[in-house]
Amino acid sequence: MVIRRRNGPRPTDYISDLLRGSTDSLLLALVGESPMYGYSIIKEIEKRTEGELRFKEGTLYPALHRLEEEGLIKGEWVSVRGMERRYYSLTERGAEVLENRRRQWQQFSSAVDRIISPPPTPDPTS
Amino acid sequence: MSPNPQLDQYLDEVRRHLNLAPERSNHIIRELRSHLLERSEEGEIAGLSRQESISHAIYSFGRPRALARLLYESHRKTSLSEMGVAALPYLLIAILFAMGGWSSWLWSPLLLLPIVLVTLFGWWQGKPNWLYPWAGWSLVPLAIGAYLAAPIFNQMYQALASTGPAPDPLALSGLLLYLAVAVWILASTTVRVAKRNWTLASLMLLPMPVMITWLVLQERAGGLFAGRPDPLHHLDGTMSLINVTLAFATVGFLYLRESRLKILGLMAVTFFAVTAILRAAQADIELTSMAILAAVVSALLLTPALIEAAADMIETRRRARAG
Repeated sequence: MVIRRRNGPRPTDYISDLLRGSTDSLLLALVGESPMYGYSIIKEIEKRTEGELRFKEGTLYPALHRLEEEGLIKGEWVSVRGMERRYYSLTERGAEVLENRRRQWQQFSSAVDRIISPPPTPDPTS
Repeated sequence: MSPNPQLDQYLDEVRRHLNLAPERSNHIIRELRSHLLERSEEGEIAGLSRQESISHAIYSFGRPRALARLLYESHRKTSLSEMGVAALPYLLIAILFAMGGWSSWLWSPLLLLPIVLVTLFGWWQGKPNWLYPWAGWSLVPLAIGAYLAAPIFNQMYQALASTGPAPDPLALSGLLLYLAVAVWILASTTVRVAKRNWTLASLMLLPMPVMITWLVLQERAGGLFAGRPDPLHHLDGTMSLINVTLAFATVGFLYLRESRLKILGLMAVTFFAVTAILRAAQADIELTSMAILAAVVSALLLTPALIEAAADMIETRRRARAG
């Protein structure tokens, strides 16, 4: 939810909105690379985005469980050094959905970029 | 790793509000516990004390009630067969009205008894989503009991006004005891369900506005068992159709995800149902009465939301005090 202040929305609100809309795609992409468990997903997102993006646990687990209910990922308990972890991996259907989302994301981001990015400055010498 | 009371208390609270089958709840709690322990271990490596690292880990998960609600929503998908079971009591009551069997001393108890038994079974089974309409119909006999006891209250009122004989003290004591137990069952059931999920408590209360309106109309027409033929049997068709509508509303409620849409749907259907009974009974309804009716329906169905908001506030204060 965007919390609007008197002077307009904060920049982080916009990022939260974008992140919320991309949660499923990010999770599918990560567990599509290799099986991951909840805590490792949070650490991996932080590491790859250099702390720009962070998933809260209260958002992550409901999203993982929803994707599992929808049959896009599947979970499996693995014991590692006496610590129990639930690893998630993509199902066949999840792989198809991810492929489809990747394609749509590339089309969308490239289209938005053509509008939002500032036009190239004309070369004064030409 | 040794057990930690703060961690156990947090996870117990999440479990209490999950409102899912025990096996599924165990599975979720096991996963959350594993995450919390791993995160707190990392905190300890970074130099925090064990207790500090546990507190930080728990803090990052947010309020247990909010987390449980989101997890519940993820697993909430109700199957078609569950939706059918949830709608079944309304359809049975619709048949009872269509057959004009409500005034029979045989058919009404014969139908209400299995409804109560199914409710107890569902409650024992971990309160699946199909339970709540059954629970709502199990509470309706309490309202009917209170209505049937009204003449004794009337007699007591007249005795107090010195215009009639005093009611039998034994009957009066029994009645007061019954009312206390009935109110306690109704309130404690609503509070317990609302603390888990307030929208389900509203679903449970759905039969109440319709049945209370119907009882009031019966009273105005001379009483529930005034004589044969009963004066309000012409309402049976409308009541039957209304119960079929409520069955569909129940299915819609379980299908929708958004809490606001669920409640708006329930309020709209209840308002329509109560208005339809009043129209069919040819009761004069003015605009002011309609507004009062809308307010009463809203208040009844939104009461669970207020209970949950109060419980939320108490929990937030408790967590703030605990640091």
